[in-house]
Amino acid sequence: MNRFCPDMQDRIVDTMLGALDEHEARAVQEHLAGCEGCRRYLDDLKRQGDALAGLGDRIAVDADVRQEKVVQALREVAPATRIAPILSRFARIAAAAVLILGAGIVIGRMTAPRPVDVERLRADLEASIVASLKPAVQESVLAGLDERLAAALAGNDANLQAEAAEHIRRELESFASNSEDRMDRRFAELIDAIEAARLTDRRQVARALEQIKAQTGAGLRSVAALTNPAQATAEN
Amino acid sequence: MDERCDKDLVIASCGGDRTAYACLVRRHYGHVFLVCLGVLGNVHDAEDVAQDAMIQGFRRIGQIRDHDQFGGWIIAIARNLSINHVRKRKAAAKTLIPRPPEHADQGDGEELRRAVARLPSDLRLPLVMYYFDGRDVKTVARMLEMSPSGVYLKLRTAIKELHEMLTTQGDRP
Repeated sequence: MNRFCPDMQDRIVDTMLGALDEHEARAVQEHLAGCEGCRRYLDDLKRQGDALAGLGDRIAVDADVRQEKVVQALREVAPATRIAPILSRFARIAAAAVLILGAGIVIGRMTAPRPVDVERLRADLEASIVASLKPAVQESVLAGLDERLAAALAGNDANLQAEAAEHIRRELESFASNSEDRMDRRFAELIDAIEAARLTDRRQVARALEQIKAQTGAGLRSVAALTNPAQATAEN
Repeated sequence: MDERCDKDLVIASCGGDRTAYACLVRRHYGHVFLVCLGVLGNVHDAEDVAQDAMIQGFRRIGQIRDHDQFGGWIIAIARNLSINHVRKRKAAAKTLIPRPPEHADQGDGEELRRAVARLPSDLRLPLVMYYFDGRDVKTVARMLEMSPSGVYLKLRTAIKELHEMLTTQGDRP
């Protein structure tokens, strides 16, 4: 048996329901003309729809009997609300107003001031004043103490600073005088060292010159002796 | 049949006029019953719950805000009661001995009735309302407070599923 075309299934159902516009319906009819499976599917759906309508008709046969049963049952039922809706609405508003007023009265009574107890009020006031002033007084006392302590510390600081300055000045003077002596000594030692070195160099140069002079004199004499024939003969 | 409009009948019912309310019952019971049948899936339960809905409507008629909208108001009551009934039925099914199936009439369409009962209630309700009440999508959409396109979608799915069930069983409608 040829089955319907899956991509046409929805449009075939819509055709049966009359849910397609003219253009779509015509396109479906053209397809159906050449497709036996889809034609059979549409016929099936139509038979199914007719069968459903027939089932509905059979169920509806007893509709009147069922209705009358309900009407009979209603005779034994008392309506819970007999007030007309407008009145009912008014009644609801009135009930709400009564509730609000009642709640207001209850809250007012719960929060209303009681008769004044003078002694109690005085005690409360004292406690309240003490409680409120105590921190301020304590703070003031502590502030005074801080100021006195700061002044004393400031005096002590001035004395300490003067002593420290004097001490430092003395130390600096001592250091300066000592350092000058040491510097002079160092310079003198340095000059001596330089002088000593210079003298040493001079002596060494003199010795060198002496040696050169001695060697040069002897050489010249030898040369003179060799070059003077009279002297040479005499010597021979 | 009382010729008064729904609004007049509602106002009269609010004053305790049982006759006026009986007229409203006769005028709207069919739709109320179909809603119950659509949600519950069987006639027996639908009868019971539809009756409860009508009785509750009588008791609560003073609470209705728009006297012209009795139809939508009583259908909403019926739908809620039906959904609650389904919940209770599911809870009872978990704890109690399963209830024997509803006595089946051996006549024509029994398989179709069973297949409809097996559909999910959100598909069955528009299907039942559509096929059992004149095949008018706009009326179904108004009663179920849905858009017509929404009803079409539900109907399309329900029809396809129902056909699938019936052809799988080998029972063609």
